[in-house]
Amino acid sequence: MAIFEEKTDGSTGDSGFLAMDMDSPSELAAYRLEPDYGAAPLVVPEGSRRRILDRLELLYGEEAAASAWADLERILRVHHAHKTPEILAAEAEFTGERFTEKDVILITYGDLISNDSLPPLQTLANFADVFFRDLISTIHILPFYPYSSDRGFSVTSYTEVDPNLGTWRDVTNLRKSFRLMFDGVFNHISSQSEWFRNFLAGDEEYKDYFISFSSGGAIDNDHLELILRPRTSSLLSEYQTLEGPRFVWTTFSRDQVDINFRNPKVLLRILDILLFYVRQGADLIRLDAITYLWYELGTSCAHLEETHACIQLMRDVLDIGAPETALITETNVPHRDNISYFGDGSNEAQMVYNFALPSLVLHTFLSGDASVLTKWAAGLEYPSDTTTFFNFLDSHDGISLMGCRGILSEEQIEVLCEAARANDGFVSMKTNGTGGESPYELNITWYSALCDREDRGDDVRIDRFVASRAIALALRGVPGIYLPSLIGSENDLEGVYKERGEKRDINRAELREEELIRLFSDPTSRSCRIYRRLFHLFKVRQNLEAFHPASGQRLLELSPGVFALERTPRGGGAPLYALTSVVGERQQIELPVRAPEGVKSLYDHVSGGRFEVSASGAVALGLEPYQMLWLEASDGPTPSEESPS
Amino acid sequence: MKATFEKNGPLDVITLEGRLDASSAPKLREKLDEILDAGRVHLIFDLKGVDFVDSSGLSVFVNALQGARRAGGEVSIASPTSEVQSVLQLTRLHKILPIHEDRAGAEASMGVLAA
Repeated sequence: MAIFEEKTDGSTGDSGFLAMDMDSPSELAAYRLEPDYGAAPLVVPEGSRRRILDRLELLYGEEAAASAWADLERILRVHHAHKTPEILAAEAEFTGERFTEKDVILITYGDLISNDSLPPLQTLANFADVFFRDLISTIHILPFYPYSSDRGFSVTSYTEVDPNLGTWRDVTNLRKSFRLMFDGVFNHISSQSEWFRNFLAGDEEYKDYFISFSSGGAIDNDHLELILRPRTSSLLSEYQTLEGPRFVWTTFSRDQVDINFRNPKVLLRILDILLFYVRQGADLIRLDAITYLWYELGTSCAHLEETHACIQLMRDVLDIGAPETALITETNVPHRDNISYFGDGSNEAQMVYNFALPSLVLHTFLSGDASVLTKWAAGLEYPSDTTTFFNFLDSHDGISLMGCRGILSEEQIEVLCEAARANDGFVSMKTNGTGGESPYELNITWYSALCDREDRGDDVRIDRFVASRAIALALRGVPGIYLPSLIGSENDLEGVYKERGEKRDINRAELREEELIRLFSDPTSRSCRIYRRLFHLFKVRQNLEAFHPASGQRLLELSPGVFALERTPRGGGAPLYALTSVVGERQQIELPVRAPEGVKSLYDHVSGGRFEVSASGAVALGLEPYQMLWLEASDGPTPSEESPS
Repeated sequence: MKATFEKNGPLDVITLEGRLDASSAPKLREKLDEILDAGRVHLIFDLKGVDFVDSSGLSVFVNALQGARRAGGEVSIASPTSEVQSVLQLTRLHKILPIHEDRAGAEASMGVLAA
């Protein structure tokens, strides 16, 4: 007798996620290892050439721009010579649609999951292949290059894989089942890097690779106060060079030396590396800390016109050399500044981290009031159908408090800080330039952050946690999730105190594969329950066009205790209503709906339930605590939708 | 991990004991490739004695299934412990890998006559 009644023959139509790929692995096309210079050469369209020249002239002046363009054209032609016929064909067929409702991005370090037998990237590939395939579309492997500090964000070599993690082959292997996001940590480089060592050694070529001064007081206080900094460390760090002491610009830490983009050779090397990442399998490139790329004394040195021009050049290069590869900017700044990295909707990042979202969702659940989140979301602007938000709630860093500045009051931000401290988390500060400090981020896991001291057991906490994630899944954009949240990780205080007292280590605990699987083997464990519920939502979402990033969105004000969206499929049709209760009490609400004539009920894709539409065109709902509903005028589950577990 | 290979007519029954993980999976995968290359494509994994399977181990089953199906064969799982069964279910592998309470059930379901 079969133990499982759901046995199928694995043919198409089977809802098992692995069955779809059994006989036709969807491996993405790969570049040639060696260039073929005999192949048809790249011809850069005149419009693109002119556009690039304009940007280079803005940065470097007419003469230097012409020289830089000659070098850049060569870099583009070399990249082009690596393309296979399959890649060229895929580019020719590319419609411009990069993100759909099927996208969920998983954020992880390359070595977050470990076992004793395999290099971490192989372990990640094996684990992801079995547990995430066809549920997660893209894996953001946090910096996997050799590094000297800041958990990978102080890169010593941009073009190598940290041997402690694996090899380029291991990275490529991951791309057999997933699209990949790489980090472009281009604002700064490690003080241990060859580039900086060459600078210290007085190598003429590297003399202007960094921003350096002859004295520590070279920048006067008036200028220093203007400079936007996310850290409290000294801006200038003293290093001994062959030619005497130099004071170099270090926005983040002494070990992370800012690169001087005022030197066109630096920009060209970075653009070359950008294309190298494409050839290694990058489908998205995350521009880390890009806000601070250009410096100009007398300004904030943030969001400068020249910084935007550099990003536009990166976009130009990708549009020509790798049109399917997208840029995503990581700019942990107030929302208004953050969205400036969309450019005009066609010339900068295709995706922007939605930095306001995590703190606003946290505020919503801690206060039991969705009003602020609703009002903010109603004002979200999407400059074009090819740009969208990365709707994340947590990442390897803390929960940013920068994005919500100007949206939450200082008192509301302080409440978040107090709650984080009460839940055994930390608050990191930043300098204000005038000598004062203010909260910058909360260091706490998302599961712990949502904790309410009055909770009675895991049930309500899991419900609240899943409800919070449902908001990021429903809001227009591409949802993201940090691996520890897939299992509801709590704070790792031991991790904070065992080494350097780095607060962010509270959410970077290593996950042993055996332990993970044992947790998954126990259906009553918190990890297993969260994993099942989240992946049910992921799976359901994949089949609902209303959740496409280009589908319409309208915010509904039903009650402060409910976050409600109306999402209209981009191709037209009946809207979907995504409702999330943000309170621990049952609520009775009435949802006015726009349903096609004759529709008598709406189907809830989350629970499989059905709700009657009244003669007046409304649905009366009794929402359970932290319940979520995805209601649609539908006959039932979509073809590959599974019943809720 | 211990693996015993037994031929039963057109069926190959692979009885595993211990842990099927990243350290033992590569060797088992190699042996299974040999079996499939020899044209023997109806496989049953008897997991009665297996107390732990990790993602590398699960990949062995998936690869075996892919190889067998390409050649018109089939793969079944027999007698998993409740822990292993939970993981198979959670990863939805149970939807493509038929799972049976015992070896006899697996043999009967294969649609070919055992000796």
